[in-house]
Amino acid sequence: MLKPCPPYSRGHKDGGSLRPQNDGCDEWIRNLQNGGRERPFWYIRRRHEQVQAEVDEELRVHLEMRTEELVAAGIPRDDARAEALRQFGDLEYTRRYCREQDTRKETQMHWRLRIGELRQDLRDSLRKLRRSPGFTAVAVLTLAFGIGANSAIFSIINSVLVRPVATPEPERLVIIREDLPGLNLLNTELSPPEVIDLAARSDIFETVGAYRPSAWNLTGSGAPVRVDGAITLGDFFEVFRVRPHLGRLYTAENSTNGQHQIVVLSYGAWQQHTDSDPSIIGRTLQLDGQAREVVGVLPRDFQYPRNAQIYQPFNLTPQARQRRGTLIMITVARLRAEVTHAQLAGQLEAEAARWNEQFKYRKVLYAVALAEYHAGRLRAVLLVLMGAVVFVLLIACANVANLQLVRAAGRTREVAVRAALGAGRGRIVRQLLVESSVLAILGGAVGLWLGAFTIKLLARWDSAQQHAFDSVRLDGTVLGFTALVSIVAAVAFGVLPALRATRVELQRVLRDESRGAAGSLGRSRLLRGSVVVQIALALVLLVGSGLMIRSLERLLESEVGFAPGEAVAAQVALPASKYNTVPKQTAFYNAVLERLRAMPGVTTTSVGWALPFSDQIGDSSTFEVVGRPVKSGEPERHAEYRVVGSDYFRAMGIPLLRGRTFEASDYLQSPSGHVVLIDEYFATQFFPGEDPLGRQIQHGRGPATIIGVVGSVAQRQIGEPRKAVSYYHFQQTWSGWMAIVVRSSIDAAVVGSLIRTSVREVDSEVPVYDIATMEQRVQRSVGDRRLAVMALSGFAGLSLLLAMLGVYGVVGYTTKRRTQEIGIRMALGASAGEVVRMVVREGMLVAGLGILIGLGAALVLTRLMAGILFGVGAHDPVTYIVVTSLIVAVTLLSTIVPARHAAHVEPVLALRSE
Amino acid sequence: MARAPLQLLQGSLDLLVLGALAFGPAHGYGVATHVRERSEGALAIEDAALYQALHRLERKGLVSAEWGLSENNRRARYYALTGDGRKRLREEAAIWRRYAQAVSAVLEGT
Repeated sequence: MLKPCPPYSRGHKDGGSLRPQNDGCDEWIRNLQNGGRERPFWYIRRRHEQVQAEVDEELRVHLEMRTEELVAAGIPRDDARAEALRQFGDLEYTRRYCREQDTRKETQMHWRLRIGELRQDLRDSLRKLRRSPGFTAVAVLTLAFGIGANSAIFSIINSVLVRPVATPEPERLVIIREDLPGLNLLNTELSPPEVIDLAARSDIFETVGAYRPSAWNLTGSGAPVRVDGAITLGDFFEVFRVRPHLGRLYTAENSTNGQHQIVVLSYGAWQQHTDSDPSIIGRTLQLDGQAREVVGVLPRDFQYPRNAQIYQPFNLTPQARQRRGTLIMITVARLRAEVTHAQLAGQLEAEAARWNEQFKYRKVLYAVALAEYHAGRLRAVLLVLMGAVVFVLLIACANVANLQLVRAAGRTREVAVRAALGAGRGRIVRQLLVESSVLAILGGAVGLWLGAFTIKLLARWDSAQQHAFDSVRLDGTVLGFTALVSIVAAVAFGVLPALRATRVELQRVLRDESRGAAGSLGRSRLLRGSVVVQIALALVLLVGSGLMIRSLERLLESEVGFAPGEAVAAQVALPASKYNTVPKQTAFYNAVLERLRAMPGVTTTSVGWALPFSDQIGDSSTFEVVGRPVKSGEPERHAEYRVVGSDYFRAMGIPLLRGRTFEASDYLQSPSGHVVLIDEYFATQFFPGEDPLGRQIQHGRGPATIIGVVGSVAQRQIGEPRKAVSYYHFQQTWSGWMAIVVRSSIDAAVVGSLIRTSVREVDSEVPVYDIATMEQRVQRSVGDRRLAVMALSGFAGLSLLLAMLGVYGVVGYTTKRRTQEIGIRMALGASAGEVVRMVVREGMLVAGLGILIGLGAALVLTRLMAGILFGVGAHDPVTYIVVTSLIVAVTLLSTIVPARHAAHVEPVLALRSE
Repeated sequence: MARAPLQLLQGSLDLLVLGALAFGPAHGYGVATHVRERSEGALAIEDAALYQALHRLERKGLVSAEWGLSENNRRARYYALTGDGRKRLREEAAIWRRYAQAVSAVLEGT
């Protein structure tokens, strides 16, 4: 008598993981014998066929019984069969219907089972993770750092340095620059008439606009505030296709039709200075004492130039229309769709040739893509940082992989037993998948939090500096990428090794052959290999970072031409309406300087316009050397000019090389006695081989006599090539906005408030802003670079930490596996010291391989960095030696600790352990 | 068996099947026979509809099925009420009785 097979359609109410999958007797037995060779996908199809077969059998049996009944009633068999069929009804439909119902039931139960298993897997996974807190913590942290910190650092760099402009088709935007090679003026702005000329070239450009940075005193409500902005020429807003948030945006015509006394506000300015007043259009603001009507407000996402709050039209007077030498307009243009960059270059060349022909100078016009212009010099840095992200990511993944491998090794037994008890392979894989996924998701979640936290942290740290971190967001792409890679690594390395364990023969494993040679040797090799890779990667990152750090050091050491020290500079801006003559301005400054000089501790104080490393870019123009007119065919003479006070050079620490500096007699005389100081570069360029003292130059106004030569200074960037600069005295010329420089023995913060007080006493309507020491300003100029260095160092440090963890973990694991061997050695007389040395030696061999590979890679890869290094070669030996020593020391430490641990195990225990 | 069987009212098929199984597990043929005999021929479930109902009820979890051996040693699929099925039977039967009572009461005397 056949016993009925276990029912396949009964639900599993307990859903225990070790309960066999009951899908028919044969299946069940086969499963057990094969140690779990279930194939889930084919399974479904077989079920389909089986279900159909069973339905058919059931119905067949019914028909047979019905037939028998009819036969018993006297109907011949064949007729009975036909009658039974007829009485049945729609057999075909019933077959299909029943099969469909059964399949649906199967599927339902299948899913209920799976979900039950999943819930249990989750519970088990969390329990297991809780039971090994060390592993969990390290794994989660590794993932978190690899995903979170990594992405955060990159996001910051990306948004700070790249600063994309929100505009349609940004690739069509270019900036036009010009060179005057004869005057050694390279990469300068254009003059307003040149902008107008370019704007006429509608065959190349869709729109042309230009701007020059400017600033005003905003008075009216509360203390006077200094606001930055831009004075625009041409169709500036149209270049970016900006639409106003409120009101309207002025156009090129406003520069020529007399209606230039209007302004457009940036969104931020509208919020900040008018409290987002919706009726601001038509109202006026007091800028430099003049009323300007607000005609429009820009949308929130338009910020170009970055910190511009006010936009005004350029007043293109007929005189300005003629002056082709005032190179002040930063020119932006949108190319026509059909013009390629090559064509553009050609056209600009032709245009420049036309100008040169007509105006007798020698200019070269060229265009740079807008994005390139603003981020160009930092592109290399960005690429390096992206590379660093990838490296750290790889190290993190290697670490996680190690951890998983190590863990899997210890679970071979458990997996084999599960398989023996009938858990299908798919079930085991699903279990491991859930475990790894829980780990990965935990890591990802912590990573996300860590990323956001890192950004907040860095933002707070950086609030003192100029970078606008407030708008930084965790970059979705980078986050997604790192998360994806890490999670895939975590899951893959969690599942794969244990999968291999399911293939191992039951008996061998159950008899504790778990240290079978094949499995663990391969695993050791894998682990060692990953350590080698980690060390190599960490080394490359450290070398890169080290080179950047030294580069920065060199940059800061290089000569700026003056002595920043503790000289404090503060900007003031005199309202033009009130201070509309030179004597009035002079009186103001003298009054302030007098007060400052009277204070104890103040060594020297003076004023200066467009200080080095300040936000003011100064001015330049053509000039003449009196008595030596420019010959035809020769380029015009062009130089920068500044306006300073008498003690300026002493206050700034600029050396006086020849002649003398300003004296009272110079500027208290009548205007015919204009004097000027030139810097060294000016002298060598325009008075080569002769004494410039006593010669006269003319920078637009009347002639000025050269009374002295001072040292050349760097104006904006450390290490930049010098330009020719001439210095006029502020009492002989216009000086609307100067900086007050104070060199003293007083604390810088106190000096700042002293300056403020002095200015307020003389005139409370004059704003004082941008108070900083010269040293700070110099440091600020390398702010971007410093940020990059910090980021890279952060990456390098992270990678070292992770690599160290990796080494520690792997060495710890491999020595634990060898506890028995170590026990034997010690029992045979080896001392603890010898054991330690042995383990360390083996560990260092692996590390050594990593170091060698890393050095090789570093030598190759750092050559790619050569463009952004300053003062150090890509193969700077100091850096390499320091980094290598660091890694050797760190790995030594990571190896010794577990080695000592292993050596201090009781030999007896070691021998008995497995 | 002289009169033709009645047309089944909408929705009463499931109730009949459940009711038949209340007496113990049976295969499809058995259920059909049971219903016919108990109603003295007044009700005869079409075989096709019966099996569709049985499988439907099984999917809904109101009956469970397993293969067993019939009286003549054939492999047959036996259906039995589950706990849920029993409960559903009670509920539906109660509703049916109240309905029948109500209709009868309305038709009383006609």
